[in-house]
Parts: sequence; C-alpha cells; structure tokens
Amino acid sequence: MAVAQEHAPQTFISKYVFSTDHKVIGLQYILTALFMGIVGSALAVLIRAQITWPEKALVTPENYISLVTMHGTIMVFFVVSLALVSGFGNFLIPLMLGARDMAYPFLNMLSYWTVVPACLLVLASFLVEGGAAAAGWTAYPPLSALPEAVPGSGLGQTLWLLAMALFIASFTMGGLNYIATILNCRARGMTLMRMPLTVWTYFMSAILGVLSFPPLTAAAIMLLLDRHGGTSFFLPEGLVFGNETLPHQGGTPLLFQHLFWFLGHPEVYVLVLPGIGITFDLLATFARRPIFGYRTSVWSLVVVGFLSMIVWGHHMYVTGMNPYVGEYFSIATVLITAPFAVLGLNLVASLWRSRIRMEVPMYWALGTIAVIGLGGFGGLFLATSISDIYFHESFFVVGHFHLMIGVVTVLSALGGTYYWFPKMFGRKMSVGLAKLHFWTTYLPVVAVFALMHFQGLSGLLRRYYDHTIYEFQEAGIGLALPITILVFVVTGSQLVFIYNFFVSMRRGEVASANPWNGTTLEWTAPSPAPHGNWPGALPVVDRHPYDYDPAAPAEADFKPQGTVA
Amino acid sequence: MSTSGAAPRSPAFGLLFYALGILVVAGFAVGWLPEVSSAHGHGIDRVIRYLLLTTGTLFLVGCLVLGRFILTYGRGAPQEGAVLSERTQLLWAIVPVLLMCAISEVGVLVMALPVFGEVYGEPAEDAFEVEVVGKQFEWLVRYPGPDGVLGEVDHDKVHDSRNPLGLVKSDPAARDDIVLRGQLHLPVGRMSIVSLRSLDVIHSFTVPLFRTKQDTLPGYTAFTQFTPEKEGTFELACAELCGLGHYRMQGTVTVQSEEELAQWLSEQEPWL
Amino acid sequence: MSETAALSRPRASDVLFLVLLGVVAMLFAGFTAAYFIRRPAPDWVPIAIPLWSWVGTAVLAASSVTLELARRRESTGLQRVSLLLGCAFLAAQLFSWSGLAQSGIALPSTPHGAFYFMLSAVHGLHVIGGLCALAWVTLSDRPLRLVAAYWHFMGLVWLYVLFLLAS
Repeated sequence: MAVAQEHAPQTFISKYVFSTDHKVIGLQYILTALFMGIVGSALAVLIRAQITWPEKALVTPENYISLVTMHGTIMVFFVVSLALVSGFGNFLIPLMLGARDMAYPFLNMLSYWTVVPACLLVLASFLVEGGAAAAGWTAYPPLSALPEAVPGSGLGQTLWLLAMALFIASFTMGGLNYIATILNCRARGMTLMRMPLTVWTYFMSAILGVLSFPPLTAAAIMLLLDRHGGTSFFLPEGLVFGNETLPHQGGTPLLFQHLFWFLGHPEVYVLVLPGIGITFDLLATFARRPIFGYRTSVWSLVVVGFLSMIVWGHHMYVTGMNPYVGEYFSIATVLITAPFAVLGLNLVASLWRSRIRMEVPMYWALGTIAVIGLGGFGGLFLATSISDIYFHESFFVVGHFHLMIGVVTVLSALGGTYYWFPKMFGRKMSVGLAKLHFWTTYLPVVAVFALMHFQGLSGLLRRYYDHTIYEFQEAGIGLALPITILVFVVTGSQLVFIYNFFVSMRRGEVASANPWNGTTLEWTAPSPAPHGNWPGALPVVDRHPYDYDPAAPAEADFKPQGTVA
Repeated sequence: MSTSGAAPRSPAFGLLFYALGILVVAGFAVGWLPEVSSAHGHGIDRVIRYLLLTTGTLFLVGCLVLGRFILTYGRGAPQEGAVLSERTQLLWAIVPVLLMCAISEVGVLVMALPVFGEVYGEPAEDAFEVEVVGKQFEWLVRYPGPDGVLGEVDHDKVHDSRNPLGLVKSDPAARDDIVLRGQLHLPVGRMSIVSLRSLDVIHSFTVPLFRTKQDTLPGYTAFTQFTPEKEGTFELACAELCGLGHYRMQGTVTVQSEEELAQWLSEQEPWL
Repeated sequence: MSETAALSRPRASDVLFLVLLGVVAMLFAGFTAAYFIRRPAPDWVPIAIPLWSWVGTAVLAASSVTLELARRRESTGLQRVSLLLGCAFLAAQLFSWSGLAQSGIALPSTPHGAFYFMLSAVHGLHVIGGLCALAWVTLSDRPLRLVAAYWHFMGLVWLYVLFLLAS
C-alpha cells in the first residue's frame, strides 16, 4: 500500500510551493500568518507608543486610525484566521481523522494561493495615496464609503475591500474542504462521536464560516458600488463635506452594520472554537485522563455555533437600532454563557483525578483555560445591553475581544505548535527557551488585557489618538504606560519563539512518532508524517479519542485511538 | 515506544492560578467607575456591580479549583475512578447551564430591565428638549429659542462658518434658534431629551459621567434621555470612530439650576 | 479516497456541492435582507423589469429542460444546446441592461435599478461559473450530475431574484 508515496511530488516547486499536501499547505498558512503577525505586531507597538506618548506625536492622526484599522484587519483575518483555522486546521484534520489528505487537495492549494495576493494587497495599501484603510476593521459607512470623510477611504479602502473579497473566497474554499473532509474522509471506525474535539471545533468553525461570510460579501459588493458606482445602499441624504452636499439619498448606514455583524459575530466563534478544541486535546494528553464530558462538550459546541448566528445585534445596542430589538439580542446573547460554561466546566473537570505531566504544551493549555474564563465573563458586561451603554467603544471592549479572539487563539496556537512540532518536523523544540517564552508571554499578556478592562471601567474610550485632553480619561490613561511596557515585553518574547521555531526545525532533539504518548491518530503516523501520512495502510479506529488511564503504570497508561495494520 | 522518560512534575504551577484569580478579582474590585451624575446612571452602575460580583466570584472559584487540581494531581500519583458514567457527566453539565442562565438572565431581566425603562421608556412630560448634531469634528447644539420650536434646516444651506446647521431663513421658527459649538447647557434634576443627528459620518454622543451613549446616524434622528443630578460641567466626547479628528470631538455639558439656565439662554443671540 | 470507499458515507462531492449551495443561498439571503431594509426609503422609485429579462428567463428555463434531458439520455448534443442557451441567457441579460441604460436608468439612478443591476450581475457571475463547469464536463466527458443540479439551482435563484425585483 505504498501507493501514496509513489505519487509524492519530487521537485521543489511541487513539493513546497504549489503543493497539494495538506501538511505543506498548513505550514504555508502558518508561516504566512507568522509574517503577517510580525507586521500586525509592529502596528500594535506603534499604536501603543502613540497612546502612551501623545505629546511626541509619533504618527499623524490619519496614520493613527490607519494603524488601528489595519492592525485589526491583519490580526483577525490574516493572522488568527490563517494560523489557527487554515494553518492548524489543514495540518491536523486529515491526520486526526486518519485520512491521506483533504478531500480536495487541489482546491486546498487554490485556497492558499488565493489568500497570498490578499496579503499582498493589504500590505500594498500602506503605500498608496491617502494611506491604508482608516475606517476601523468594521469599515462602517459613510466613513468607509467616502474619500471626503477620511483620506484612507480612497484607494486604501478599495484595496482593503478587494483583499477581503479574496480572503473570503479563500476561506470559503477552505471551509467547504473541511466539511467535505470531515464528513467523508474519516478512517474506518471513526464515527462522528469518536472525533477528537479539535476536529469537532474545526467542523463547527467551518460551518459557521461558510454560512456567515456570504452576507458580508454582499455588504462588500454594495459598499464597492456605493464607493465607485454612485449608488446609495448605505448612504443617506444630506451628507455634507466641505460645505458641499453629496448627491446620495435614501441609504441606511445601519444596514451595513447588520450585514457586517451577521458575519462578525460568528467569526469570533470561527476563531475561538478551534482554540478551545486544541486546548481540550492538549489537556487530555498531559492530564493523562479522558476528557470530562466529551458528549456535553460536543453538544455545547453545536449550541454555541447556532446561538452565535442569531445574536449579532449585541454589537449595535447604541447605534440607533430599536432598543426592544436590542433587548432580544441581549437576552439571546447572554444565553451563550450557558453552553460556554459547560465547556469551561469540562475543561477544568478534565483535571480532576488526573495525573498531570507538566510538559511545555500543557503550560499553554492550562493558561488558556483561565483566559477563556476571564474573557468569557467579561462578555457578560457587554452582552447586557444596559451595561453596554457605558462600555460600548471603551477599552473594556478592547480588553474583552483581545482576550477571546487574540489571546485564547494565540495561546492555543502556540501550545499547539510546541505540541505538534514533532509531527511537523520530526524534532522537538527547546524546552528551556519554550519556558522562557511562556512566562514572558503569558503573564504580561493577561496583565495587559486585564488592565484594559480596568481602563474601560474607568471610562477610557478606544481609537483615540490623544486621550490626555479629557479630564474623565485621566484615570484610565494612567495605566497606559505599564500596558505599553508589558506589550514591549510580549513582543520581544515572540522573538524567542521565532528563534526556537526555526533553529529547532533543523537542530532540535529528534522526536519519535509519539513523543507525548498521545492517543489520537496523528501519533500513529511517522514524525514527520510523509506524503499520504501513513506509509502503509490507514489506521483503523476502535475506541474514543482520549483513552488514558491515570491508574495504570506510567508508560502503559494510554491506548491509541486506532491501530495501523 | 515512548521517549519522554520521567514526566516533569510542577505542582507549584497551581499557585499561578491562585495568584491570577486573586489578583484579577482584586483588580476589578478597585473602584474604577467614575462618580455617576445622572438618575439612570445609578441603575447602570448597579448592573455593572452585580456582574462584577457574580462573575468575579465565579472566576475566583474557577481559578482556585484549577490551581487546587494542579497542586493535587500534579504530583504524579496514580488516580483511580477518573471516569464517571455518561449519565453523571451529563448531570454535571446541568450545573453550569442553570447557574449561568440564572446569573445572566437575572442580570438582563431583573437588574437591567427597570433601567431599560428609564433609558428608553416614555420621557417625562416636562422634559427639556435640545438638539445636538455631530459633524467632523465638533458638536453643534441647537436650542429652539423663545418660540420653543426647532426651525427648518436644509443641508444645502449648510456652511461651516456662516450657517453650520443650514437654518432656513424663510422659516420664522428657525430665525430665533440658538446654535452653539460644543457647549450644551442643561437643567439639573429635570429630564433632558437630546435629539441627535449627524451631518456626515456616524458619531456617538457620550457623556461618560452620565452613563449615556447614543450614536448619531446621518439621515436619521436618534434620541437619548437622562436626568442630570448635579450642577457642574461635564465632558462630552465622541464614541464612534468618525475620522482623523475623532479624538478631539470634545464638548462640555454645563448643568445648572432652572433659573441660571433660563438666564443664560436669554443672553444667547439667535444664530440668524 | 478509495481506501475508505466501502464505508457508507455521503460522497465528498455531494457534501461539497450542498454546502456550496448553502453559501450561494446565504449570499442571496444577505442581498434579500438589504433589499427589504432599503425598499421603504422615500427615494424608492420602481422600475419596469425589462422585456429582455423575461426572454432571458424563458431561455434559462429551456436550458434547464435540455440539460435535464441531456443528463437522463446521456446526450452530449443536448449538453451543447444547453451550453448555447446558457450563453443566450447572458446575452439577454446584457440586452436588458442596455435597454435600461437607453431608457435613462443607470446604476445610481434609482435604488430599485441598482438592485436590478447588482443582483443580475451577481447571478450572472454564478451562471458564468456554471457555464465554465458545464463546458469542462462536456469537453472532458465527465458526469453531468452535479453540474446539472447546480444549473437548476441557479435557475431557481434567478426566478427568486426576479420575483423579489418584480414583487
């Protein structure tokens, strides 16, 4: 059965550039995201510097809002989506399901090479006249529709829209492929209720992604027509710029917000669910016991996914939407805490009567649990429409969403990198550097976003070039300096990770096929996994994914989910 | 098969979560909220404090349990009876579901609904009415003048310096309208209704000490109502990204007694 | 994957196809929401649906019929006819656009017209995609099943769009 390997591509181009191998494509996504992440982090550092030392006027006000806009856009769509959802998803799904590759390898390659020009357009938009898009990552019209409103809404915003269109096309292709692969390409014996939770979260993430992105596509098309075709989908009558009235009439800016958040909210779950899934898998391996409440976790994921699609209005409580509609969104939104709390309980309870092996990936998994708690509870303040009146557009929001779609996702992706690195490259990463990386990342990052919550409570507003001209923001801005120092520490800490990643790739300790004594199927494949994943026949699954026994002798406390004939 | 050798143990890692839980909750418990100065603001602060108390307790308990588990089960001792029956696991899931439904829906329906009535319900009959219009990058305030009626405006007549709101001269109701830049005067202890418009992009009218925030949408009139409780000046800011000058869209709200306000209003010249 | 082919699973191509239909449906659902939110505005002036559009609708319906026959009878000749009818539909749409333009209705003129141009263009792009797929299976002699289903689906989407615009 060495069929697969006979077809393994030989030339450099077909092996590493235009590859159809899910593992190579996964790594391509991860490395692309790493590069975009460096760009996004540089923007973050600039933003922090401006907020902290406004008197130095390090950037101009118009560049500042471009920075804020592009930091958000790059981090949400071109870092977290690419690394966690597209990158790890591609790498893990076939390996964990016992498949040779994705259902549609060519579509997979096409999906990656569609997002590359999107990244280039995003980067190019910094160089055009008027600068990069400056209407916020949410791109609300009229600000995003009219170059008169802000310089970034010239060519920069057009490039932003085109990049988003390419990104959506790529992400949709990826999502279609995930769903087809998960439903069709599972190994013999791999029923849906035997799939690792990581795969379940990618499944939900893909479903949410493909269903929620199209309305945003519709909104983007209408925004493009408003910008360049003279239509008035989102532009009302009587817009006055420089004493001139624009000819638009009849449009409604709220329409865009509805369409945007119909995507925007599920997108949060598209990103955060895989983070939770990876945390579950890491937890099981290093707690050496089965996940507590596998079934309730799966059902919670399904309920969370469903609810996430009917609560988008909670981003719009103070926008002028009918407050009674807002009240519905509020009641529905806070319901999400119920299935989410089940996931939280199952995460914590998975440590009960466990036998913890404190390896490096476990640091990240445990750290992620606390962040899910902190971020999740913070959400209640924003979901309750009445308290959101105070918190809307404050740093409380900034702290909250960074914890959920920034920290949970990045911590779990970093933990996942340490965990699956042996499967990717056949080597382990340096443990000493990894510990240094953990402590210099985790503590500052939690502190940064907790402090931002405090800033929000004290009334600090977001997207401000200079807070110091307001008396009411004095208390909040007092915390800016410690936050900025911690941000510098975190940013520097990632250099340790990047160094460790690239050096260990060549010189790390050689790893066995199953260095962590894991049960899921990827550990039955060689490290690094060859083209086709298993040199011989595919594994056959005969049990649930987390068959650990903390009562058994240490080296015999696990049974792999499947066996390779 | 395995190459991992002796498994690393560090039960002390559990202390991290003890410290994290205590420090974060202590941090939130610091009185960050600025002093409130409007009637409904007390209700909003009450909702916030309720959520701080409930979620803070849960977060602390969660962190302590997490830390405790790591301390106890991080020593590497074999554990019997780790796997509970499916039924027991299902029953355990009911606990967080009921708990969170109770906490969150009590927050929305019991704690917040009365405040909802104050913020969005029927305004008081004797409410003080004023118009605030957002434009890049200032707040324009309009009082109806002696006739008590806001006159007609026309966006074609808008001119930054000459006629910032585009008041129509031919309308007698517009001729006595008072237009001010960035200064809003309101009576103390009486409900104010601010009607909100925008001339260009979306802005958001916020007076943080009043706990009030409402977007101003172009092509649409929004309303916000609140009752200032104390005399004094308060800052007005913009809470929706509106362009490069978003941060300097500053204004002041002066809350004064009815007599002082009447006196002040009578001293203002109509714009036209 | 042949190694797991014996398992009773939905075909990967069927799954992909059905989810793709879901994606397209959600796209038009987004436009529908926009249409109903935009319509009550005071500047809404209805336009008459151009005659060519009705001609195009008939052509598109005919192409669905010929394609269905082609699928059942495995006739490549009928497949080619469907291909031509599909192109004719697109031509009819272009005629309907130029007809509107001649009567003075451009993209920015009225919101109803803007929706007409936009929705017919978005639908047209999906039809072009279908035509490419149809040409590909015709030339490479592959099974017609999913392409035919997609074609019927786009026919239904067009009827829906037309109903939306004309109602």
